[in-house]
Amino acid sequence: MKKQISYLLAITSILTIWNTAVPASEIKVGDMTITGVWARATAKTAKTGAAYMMIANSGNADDKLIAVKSNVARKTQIHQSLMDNGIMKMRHAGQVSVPAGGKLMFKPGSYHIMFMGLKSQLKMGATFPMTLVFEKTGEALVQVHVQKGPGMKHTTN
Amino acid sequence: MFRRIFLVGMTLALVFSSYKLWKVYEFNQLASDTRGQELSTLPIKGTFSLTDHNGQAVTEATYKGRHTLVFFGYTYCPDVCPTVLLDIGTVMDSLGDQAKQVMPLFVTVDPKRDSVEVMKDYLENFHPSVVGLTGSVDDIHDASKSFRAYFSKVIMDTSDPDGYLMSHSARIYVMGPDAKPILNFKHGESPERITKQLKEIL
Repeated sequence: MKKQISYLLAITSILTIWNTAVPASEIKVGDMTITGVWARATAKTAKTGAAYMMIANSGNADDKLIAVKSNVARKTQIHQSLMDNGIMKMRHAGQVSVPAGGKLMFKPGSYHIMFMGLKSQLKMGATFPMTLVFEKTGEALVQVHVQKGPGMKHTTN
Repeated sequence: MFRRIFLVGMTLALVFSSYKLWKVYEFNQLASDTRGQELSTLPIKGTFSLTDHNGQAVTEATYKGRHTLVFFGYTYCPDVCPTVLLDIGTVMDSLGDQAKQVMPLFVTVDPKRDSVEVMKDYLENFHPSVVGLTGSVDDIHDASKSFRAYFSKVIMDTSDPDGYLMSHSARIYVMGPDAKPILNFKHGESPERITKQLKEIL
């Protein structure tokens, strides 16, 4: 009896640790694995927002992210922030490639999904769906977690 | 005949590209300097006449007695500007008691969209010490000239009145309690380094 209880305890604790340590927002579509999808919380009157994530391509073929769709804004596009001779610029990146066996990181100061014409505030702790469209892999539906900034777990802190 | 023209052309191209490469190398050497650059090498005035996010008219003299951290951005920017503002918040928190001696000033390069109300609402998301500054297009131009900060409008969608972004200088300017420039940090400087250097001069 004691052995079974301790066994049960062990499994429960492992499962608890697993569920809190590993972000639940990991989506696999074909060879694409999308993790850590988060968007920055916005001010009440903000018209734009940004979302970030990591896309890994474990396949043998290159693929491209060609579009992103969401209902939180009038326009959803792939953008890139870049420094050019001390000037901060942002450009509409259009399509971005995810090379075979490689990764594409969307992070502050670099590639990001830009929401233009936000329909409502992105509130901290909220979640909303977003569809990524890949040239070869097709569509992937992900859940975006609204946070204050990077590196925060999407649990209620 | 053509051979000679070709050779001359090639030589010129080589000379030109070498010159260009040298300039890029030179700039990269300067850019890789990780300490805040002493502003004595860059003459900036640091003067301005703007409106803060509470609707008060202010100038650089308003903040005399405290150090100010002046940086430029705009609220329509969802990526870089929030990151800088979060970093500034981290710096202010790390300064502890000394934070009272520092005033972060966020100057918009997009006064058309960033009214006093928009600035006030936007800044609620960030550290309470950050002051937002806006004003007329002319006043903003004068302020940026005074800091030698560059900015320009990039139109993305001509059919959308909001369809534009701003390119802008990404430096943080530190001014002394006498409203005179001391040094500046380039974009990407970590909050830890900024805090460390600020503590040295406070």
